[in-house]
Amino acid sequence: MAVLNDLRNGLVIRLNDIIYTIVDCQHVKPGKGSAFARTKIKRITDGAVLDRTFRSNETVETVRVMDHKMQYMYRDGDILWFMDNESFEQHTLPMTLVEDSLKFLKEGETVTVKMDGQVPLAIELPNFVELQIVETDPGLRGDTVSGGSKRATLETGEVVNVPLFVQNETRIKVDTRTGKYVERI
Amino acid sequence: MHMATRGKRYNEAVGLLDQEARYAPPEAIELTKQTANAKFDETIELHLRTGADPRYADQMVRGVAVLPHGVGKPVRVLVFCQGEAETIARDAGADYVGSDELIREIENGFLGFDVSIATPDMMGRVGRLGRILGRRGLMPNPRIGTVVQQDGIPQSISDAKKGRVEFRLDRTGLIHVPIGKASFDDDRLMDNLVTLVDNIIRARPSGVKGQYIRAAYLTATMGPSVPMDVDRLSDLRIE
Repeated sequence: MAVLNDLRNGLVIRLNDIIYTIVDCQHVKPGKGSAFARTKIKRITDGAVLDRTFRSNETVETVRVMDHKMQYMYRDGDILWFMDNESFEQHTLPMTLVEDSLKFLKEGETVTVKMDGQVPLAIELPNFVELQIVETDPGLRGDTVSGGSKRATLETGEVVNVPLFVQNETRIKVDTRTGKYVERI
Repeated sequence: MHMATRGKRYNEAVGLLDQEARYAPPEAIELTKQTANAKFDETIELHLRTGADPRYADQMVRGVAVLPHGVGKPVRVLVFCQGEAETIARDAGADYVGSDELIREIENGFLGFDVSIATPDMMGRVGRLGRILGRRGLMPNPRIGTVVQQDGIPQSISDAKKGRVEFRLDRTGLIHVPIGKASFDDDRLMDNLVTLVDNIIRARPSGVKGQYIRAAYLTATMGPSVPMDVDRLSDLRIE
């Protein structure tokens, strides 16, 4: 059982026999009155995200999850196939569980899949991923001291801002938590 | 989209069937063989529409059946392994054996095999091929018996050559499996069918709601599909 303070992003809870993952969590401790947490809850079964506020006196049932490292293999329509790095078994994950992570997911990349027994619940991208830039303009703007940024499209289709000196076809490291450029590889 | 016109041979084959009828397995086999009148020995396949949704892990159907009379085609076996295991694999009859060189060939487009087996120590590298092999059902998998320790290699190769077939849900919830050739006797095809159906039914996942097998069809490679009576089909079990 978890109390208000235990609620975090990525925690898996069970409400009324339905499993949800917490995708966003804001703890609020007003000077007057009791603390509460304003959260966004994602329902595992269909991927729907709901708003839920938990008060300090509520307890929430947590779900015991095992973390498994798996490699993303490929996508078949709205099913994604992963292979467990230890058991080598293949698991399918529905698009609804994975959609937020798709923009940084590359085939062959290893991610952490949280499972409740045999049922996958959520995936966690590694903190940084290396991706290739497939499209960006040369970004010549003359000499400036402060430098600027420009848009670049990554191999996954996602667009990020990168410094002007980063050219097309370079591999860069991106922080998956913020979605921002970190450095060139 | 304009519906393709079909040739004479096909249309005559369709004429032999009653599309509204649901044939019992023995008749279905006989009929399917009659529709297999193309100029080569056609493969007879079973196709099932299931009530399972592959998006949910607890509804995924995946398993193997070893058909008693084989599939009728020679099975090309590839084994990913290294060191001592390579000799074991070759002696056991593998068609292609190797490690990194083999992986590279596949990355370059080599796909001349029907089954792949691997030892656990190779799987880290074989994982890279997931994109190429996974979609084609050629990825080694412990649940199918294609990821084995060195000493399990001969058995796995032998099963593969003898007629082990994999059945798994495609993304629309269908299962497609070959059960033999048109040149097989009705009895042989029936034996294979019974074994296969028995295994598929045993593999029913816990999460499936409603009817597990919704529809079943037998078909020859070039022929029309022959609808089957699902109840009679489900009754086929190994004694």
